[in-house]
Amino acid sequence: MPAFDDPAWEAEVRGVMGGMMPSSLKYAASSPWVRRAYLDAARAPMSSLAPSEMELAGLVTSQENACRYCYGSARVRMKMIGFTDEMIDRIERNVQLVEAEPRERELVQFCRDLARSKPRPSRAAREKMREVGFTARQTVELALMVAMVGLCNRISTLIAVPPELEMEAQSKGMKGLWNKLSAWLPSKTQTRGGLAPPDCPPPNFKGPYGSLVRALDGAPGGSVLEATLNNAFASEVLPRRTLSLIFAVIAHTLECQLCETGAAELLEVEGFSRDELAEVLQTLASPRLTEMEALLIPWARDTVWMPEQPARIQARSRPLVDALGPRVYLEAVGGAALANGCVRLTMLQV
Amino acid sequence: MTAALVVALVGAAGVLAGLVVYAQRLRAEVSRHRTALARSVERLEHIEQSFKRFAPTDVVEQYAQGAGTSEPSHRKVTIMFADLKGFTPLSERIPPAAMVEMLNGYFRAMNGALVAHHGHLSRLMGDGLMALFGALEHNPWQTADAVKAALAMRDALAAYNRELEGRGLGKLEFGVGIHTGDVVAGVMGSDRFMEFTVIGDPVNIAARVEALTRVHRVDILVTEEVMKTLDPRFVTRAMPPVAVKGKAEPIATFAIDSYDERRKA
Repeated sequence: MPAFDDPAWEAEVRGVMGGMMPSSLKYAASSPWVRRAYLDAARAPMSSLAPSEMELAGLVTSQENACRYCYGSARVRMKMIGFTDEMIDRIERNVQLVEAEPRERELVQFCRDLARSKPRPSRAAREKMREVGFTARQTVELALMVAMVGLCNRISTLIAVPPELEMEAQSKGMKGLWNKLSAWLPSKTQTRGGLAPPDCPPPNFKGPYGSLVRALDGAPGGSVLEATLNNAFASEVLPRRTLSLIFAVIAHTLECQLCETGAAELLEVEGFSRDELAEVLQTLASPRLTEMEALLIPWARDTVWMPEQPARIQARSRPLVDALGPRVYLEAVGGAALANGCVRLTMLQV
Repeated sequence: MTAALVVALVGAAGVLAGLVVYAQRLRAEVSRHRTALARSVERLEHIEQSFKRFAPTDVVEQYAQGAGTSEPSHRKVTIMFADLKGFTPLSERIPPAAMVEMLNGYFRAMNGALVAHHGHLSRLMGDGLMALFGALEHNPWQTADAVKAALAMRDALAAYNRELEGRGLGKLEFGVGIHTGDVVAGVMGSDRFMEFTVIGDPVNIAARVEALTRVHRVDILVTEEVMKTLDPRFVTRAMPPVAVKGKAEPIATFAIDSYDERRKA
């Protein structure tokens, strides 16, 4: 995927990111909603989590999704707020988690299990979080973190954004005492890296997957999720029907009846019947599919579990870039990334 | 007064010096333990990484985190058996090292095709293998995946045979049998040897179907249960039902010829 130059976008990003222009936001720049989704997911506001918990969730999710790009960035941010190399190594090396504090261990396990979703965690996982002292809001926001970071992971990996090696190398000189101290304190509303939160309107739960946004139970990140869903389903590049089919396939792969039904309802509005959807879900094909959909539907299932070697999914995706063109492919990547996040979030509804 | 102060200062300096020496010793001790701990972690990780070649990652992680056992469960799985035909006489004609190299190359090629189609190589048995689809994660397309994997294995074997012929070695042929059904999946074995595998009647049937490839003189055979789930893009031929050991009714099987994307799903 080529990087895309858009001076206005670059100026906006630099304004938000303290003068930096991350490669991911340059590579994703050709789609207005995908680039906005990435930027907003990276700074989704959280009201109950300390920055250290957000970064921990980000690192674990990026590791689980094998996203080299986001993983490197998460390590840098963790060091900035005072995590030592030794602490990060301990989290990475899951084998030593037995020795961690119950709260930290449960946080890591929750994020790992949700990112992995083999199978998707449910009520029992939420209950376990409560037992070790997490409030319902904190569990909701951790799930949202996994969904949002997972969105960035999939976009970065599927469009093969090169890691920010320079930033990673410079991270040693970026520690500040205040950064370190404030990261462990709860505050009213936080974002990862202390970025200004996006200016999204309060949710009205009327758009696609409105019930999922409602399940976030008033968490401020709900406005980001709703805006992202509305923007994605309003795109003129990837038809609403195609995006709904991508949601359906990913929901079916992860056995999520709620998201599958949501997709079926959206498809019915587009004139795609439930029987036709059943055929697609049974065979990953149908004469009703457009050429673009016929390529994207079997591919969408491969975005559910990011393989241990990202090179494999990148190789699998390359023919799609050639066949569909970079812009459509980027929107499909954004759609699959968003669907994966939403399906994982439905664990809050069961 | 001054003398007392000097004595006190000397005493305090002595205590301080003692503390410094003690702190240095402690630091050295901590450093030694850290190094030992780091080595143990490295060793443990090496073992864990090696173990992942023999069991699914999730299962290995459960054990690494202290779980003594992994809960077995019932699940629908598609089982594939693949066996080389006529490999024993061939292996008698070539040196053992060349034979092992030939076999390793074959397994490498087969594993690539399996992984590309969501399969998991569960067990090697001499020149045979057992692969599973849907054992490690929910997979609603597991039968189609298994058949596509078998077709990819056919292509991979053809490519490998060209390589072998170039090296003056014989050509390999295989038979593949695929069946689907409910099995028990989990880590099984004794204290000394354990593996993640599946057990149940469908496993036996898949093995019998693989053996039938010799009877029907085809390379890929599936059962009726698999056939029912395949869409028309799979080009198949019905084989006459054959009685097999342990089954009261003859088994109906279908040979897989090809997969044609242009056919209607």
